[in-house]
Amino acid sequence: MRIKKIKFQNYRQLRKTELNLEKNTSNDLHLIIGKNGTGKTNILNAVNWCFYNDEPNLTIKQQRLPILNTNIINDVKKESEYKEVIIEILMESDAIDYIFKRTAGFRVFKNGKPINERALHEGTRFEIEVIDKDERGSNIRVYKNQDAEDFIENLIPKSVRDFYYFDGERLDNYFREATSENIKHSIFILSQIELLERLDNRLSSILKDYTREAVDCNPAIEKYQTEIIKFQKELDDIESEISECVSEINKAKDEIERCNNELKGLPNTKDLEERRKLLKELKEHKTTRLKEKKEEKDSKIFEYGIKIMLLPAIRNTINIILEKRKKKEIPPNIKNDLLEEILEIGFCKICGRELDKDSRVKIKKLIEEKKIVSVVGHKLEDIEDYLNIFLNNIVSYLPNLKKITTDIKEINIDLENIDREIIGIDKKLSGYKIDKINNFINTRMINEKLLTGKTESHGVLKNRKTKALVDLTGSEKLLEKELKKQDETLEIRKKILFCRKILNVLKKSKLKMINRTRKEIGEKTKQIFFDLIWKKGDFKDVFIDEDYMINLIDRYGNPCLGAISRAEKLLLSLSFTYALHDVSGFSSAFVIDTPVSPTDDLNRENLGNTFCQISKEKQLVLLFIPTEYSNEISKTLDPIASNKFETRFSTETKETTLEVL
Amino acid sequence: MSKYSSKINIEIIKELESNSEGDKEVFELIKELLLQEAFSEGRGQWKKDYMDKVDKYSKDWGGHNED
Repeated sequence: MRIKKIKFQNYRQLRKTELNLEKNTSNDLHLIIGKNGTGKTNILNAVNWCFYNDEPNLTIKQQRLPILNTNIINDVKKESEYKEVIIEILMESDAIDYIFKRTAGFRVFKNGKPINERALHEGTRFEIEVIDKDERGSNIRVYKNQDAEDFIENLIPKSVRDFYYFDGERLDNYFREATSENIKHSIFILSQIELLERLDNRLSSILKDYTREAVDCNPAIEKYQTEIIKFQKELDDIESEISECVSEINKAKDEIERCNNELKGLPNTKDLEERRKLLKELKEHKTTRLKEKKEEKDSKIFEYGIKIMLLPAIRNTINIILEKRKKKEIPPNIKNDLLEEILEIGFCKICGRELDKDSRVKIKKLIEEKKIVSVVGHKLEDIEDYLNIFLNNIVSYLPNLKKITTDIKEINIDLENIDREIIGIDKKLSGYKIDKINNFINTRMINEKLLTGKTESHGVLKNRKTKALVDLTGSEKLLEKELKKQDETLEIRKKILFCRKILNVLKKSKLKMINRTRKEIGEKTKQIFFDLIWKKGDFKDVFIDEDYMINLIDRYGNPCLGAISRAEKLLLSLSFTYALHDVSGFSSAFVIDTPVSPTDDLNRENLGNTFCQISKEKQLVLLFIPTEYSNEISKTLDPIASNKFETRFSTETKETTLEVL
Repeated sequence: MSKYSSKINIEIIKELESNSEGDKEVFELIKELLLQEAFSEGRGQWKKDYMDKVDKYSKDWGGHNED
């Protein structure tokens, strides 16, 4: 199905003009070039308004203006003059032509109110002519108003319009907006799986009626029926919880991938910042330790400085004492009290031996000797212990000092290393928006937790579903048994079983269709993408997983959807949409507004070739701004385009005209 | 694809036939209802219409004797 012609009448700045999209070459390609503000995007709005009675791409300024052309409002000759906005779209397919016509009536007033208050909307009419073309001639059917609204909703459902009319500037978000639910919904509608769902719902409702009828005949079965309703409700609730859970899992996966892509090649600021914080704390701790050690060293030096100076005198004194002891000028270094105690108790307190006669004599002699020593001798004996303690202290001082010095040296080395690492981290973090990166890291962490939790819940729900199914089947069997008991219920039983069998077939078919369609769309997307992609070796696979998420895998086997260029994204979205059309058997034109805007020249050329390929099989309407339509793209598209137009806006008449180029 | 379109997704019909496993009445009823949903308004008295069709097709159906 392709757009043949669009007629505009009094629609915004398109006062009276036509866009003729006849296919004149082997490529069904139509180019519309226009500066911003010349009404190019309003062509897209006009199509949407005609089909769905809304204009999704209006600027804020345009939203304040009436849909009726402002010149028409200003030019009214008489008060309360009636004027109309009309958009007519002619579409064609092999067997059927369609004419869609939406008209909005306005009563226009001449008074001095602001322009948006001078056109009073008097209602909208919508009409569709369907012309069946066969050998015997044309058969025309006309649908009006609500019938026409129903018709368009069935022909090109509003909910899937994003898969036909692209806003190029929103493409970066295409696969984020085209969520799994969105894709699933589109597959359902375009592949007619929703018809099976409708049948399923209606037959389920009838099945309930039959069962109620059976209850009236045999109240005994009410118990089983109540159970069935209970288990069915439980099953529906679980299904809905599963669906919600899957949706949240997908969202979390999507967020994780988005964060991973945003963080690709960036430092892990969160870890680095944590490390930096830890290093700072360590530095503070080490600095305190260093201060303590230095104070300890200073205090030791101060304390031992005097002792070291006295060291020769101490050694000399100790030598004198030893010399004098040798000469028996001072007694052995044993205390009198101890000797007297040993004599009294009768055994040696040092070796534990009992004193014999000789020993007693020797001790008594020693006590006598100590008594006759001079006063100087006694003084020397008294200071001997102190001198020895001093000497030992001084001897252990040097190794102690050496250890403290080594400790200080080690702490200094640690501090240097810490400083070096902090500088390294600062260098790594400089130039990055740390808050933004941290935000991505946090979002990823939250979603990773969420994913784990939801995956567990998903498993639990699946188990609950299995149990509910067993319960439901059990009650259904018991009900069936009861139904068999009574002749009156036999006929109803037959209908109930018949409906159940049908529902079973519908459910099985629906499931198989969904899986098959999903797989086919994935495979077709892959085929189209790999046929058209310019960097052939960069990608390995494209598929739609069981949760309806589109996956693009790079040559190393990693998901890379968020990391590809805008041009590649456009190609993938076109491939996917093309595949969706192809597999569902539903074909429509592609209309793309600002298709190549922020891409570089090389990718423009590549996209130009892609558009060339696509337009060989499908109608493609591209709306460019002049800066987009560079040499790289025009040299490819100009020779093959069926039509080329320019939207020109006159500031005098405030009207847009479509000039054929 | 719509109720007004000139064709219906033939894959659905094939799938339904395969899953009906030779049960003629079941397949025929589903097919009839599907075409009706695809090509007609499908509003209004759908319930009576569905019930009439279930009555009609279940009469000759022998699947209820299976255990």
